[in-house]
Amino acid sequence: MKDTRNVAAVAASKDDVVLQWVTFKLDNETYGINVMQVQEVLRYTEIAPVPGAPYYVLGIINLRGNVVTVIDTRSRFGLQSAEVDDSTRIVIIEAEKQVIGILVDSVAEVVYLRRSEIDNAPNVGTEESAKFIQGVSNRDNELLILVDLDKLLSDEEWAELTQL
Amino acid sequence: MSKSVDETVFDFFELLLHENDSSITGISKPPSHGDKSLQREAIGNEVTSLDDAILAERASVRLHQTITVTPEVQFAKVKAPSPNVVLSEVAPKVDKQSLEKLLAPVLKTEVKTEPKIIEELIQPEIVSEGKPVDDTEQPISFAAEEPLAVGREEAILVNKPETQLGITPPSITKDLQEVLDDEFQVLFFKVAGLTLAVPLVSLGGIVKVERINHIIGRPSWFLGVQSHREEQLNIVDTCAWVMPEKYTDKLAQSVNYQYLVLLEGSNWGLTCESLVNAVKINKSQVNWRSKAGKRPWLAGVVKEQMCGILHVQALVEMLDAGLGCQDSIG
Repeated sequence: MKDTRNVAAVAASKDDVVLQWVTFKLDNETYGINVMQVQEVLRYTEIAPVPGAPYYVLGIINLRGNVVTVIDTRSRFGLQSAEVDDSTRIVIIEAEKQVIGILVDSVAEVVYLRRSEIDNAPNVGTEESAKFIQGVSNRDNELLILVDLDKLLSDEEWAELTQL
Repeated sequence: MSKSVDETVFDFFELLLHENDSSITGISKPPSHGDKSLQREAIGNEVTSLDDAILAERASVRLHQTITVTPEVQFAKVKAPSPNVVLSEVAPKVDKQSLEKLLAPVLKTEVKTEPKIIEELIQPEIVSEGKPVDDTEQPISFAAEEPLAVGREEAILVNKPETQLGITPPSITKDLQEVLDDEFQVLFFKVAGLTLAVPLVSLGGIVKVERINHIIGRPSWFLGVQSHREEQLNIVDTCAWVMPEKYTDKLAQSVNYQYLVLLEGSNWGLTCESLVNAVKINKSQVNWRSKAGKRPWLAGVVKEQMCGILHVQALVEMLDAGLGCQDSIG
């Protein structure tokens, strides 16, 4: 009997996969991105602007000899820009087979979430930015907004980045 | 200013209802451009005067900051708290005890006999069971946490297919009137000087506004989500949704939302600044919408209190679909 229960529990837990999310802050809200897509987190470093770049591109940085484009996450999320401070970070991520940086207010922690703990985001979004919220989760009475990095930019915009 | 706030608000709602009627009659006899422009002008004037009236009232409210409840509302002493509080017989017009009873499960012993500002009395969470009310014969019970969870789940199970399958939308209030008894109770609440009423049978509960998480990419009337009993409440900026045309930055800054009026059978909550009272009214006291129109969420106008009464089912359908107040769900 006990074995049967254990098997059922294991089967249930296999369905209910635990995912890890790197959380970061933007304008008083906490967002999460899949840890598997995060390569590293950098302190703010000088970003060289690129003439003619789209509005959501802050510029480029030199990461150990590689040029990495940095996205203005606030602008992308429709938030007002903020001053860079000591907690500002550039998160280097890989999405759509490209390595880019996203500028965030701060990076908080890595959290473990079961799939069952993730709820759908309210489906009333009409704007472009509504697409890249893949779900929300309530942790310790704080809402974590999970971002789908692949949808952070449209196909055209990802293609545009390669041209920079 | 020639009109009082109440008169102006009443005119505003009357105009909304009237506009809908005329838009329907317009199918057989299209209105001329002159008529339309006159109508728009009239609405514009009403909106402007409503705006003025609200701002004026808000100014006067600041002078008398403690006045939020009508003076005649008295709170009686509540007996020993029990899981189910039963509503006793109530006065015909203003149901002085209804709101108190509605809040009783949470307030418990804190309710006092002397008149008091509702805000002071309300605890972080006040939730009523959202079952149909027979307010004359059968007692209404407002249960605490456990029964509510079951009741809401049932309500969601019942209501979901209608919402999701998109069966004929409740564009007229006939269905609402069928649900309501001849005498029914409504809760009045205020937002930016505007009073709205929600039938208690359609009230999912009342929750204090706490931490609202902003979610990007949502319409401007969508304030965000708030956690409540391990669920997310979708929060509507009521003023922005109901009166987008008059929701200026100035007004937005002055609005101070305190409570969420939860809509039965949904996760939607309407923000409000203050709860006024719960009143028993007769169907005949409501000028019901009789024809389908642009604003299915507006069931009618309560004549005496001069405020709009919400058609919650239609409102929930609209919010689920991400529609604004003037969009059609048909």
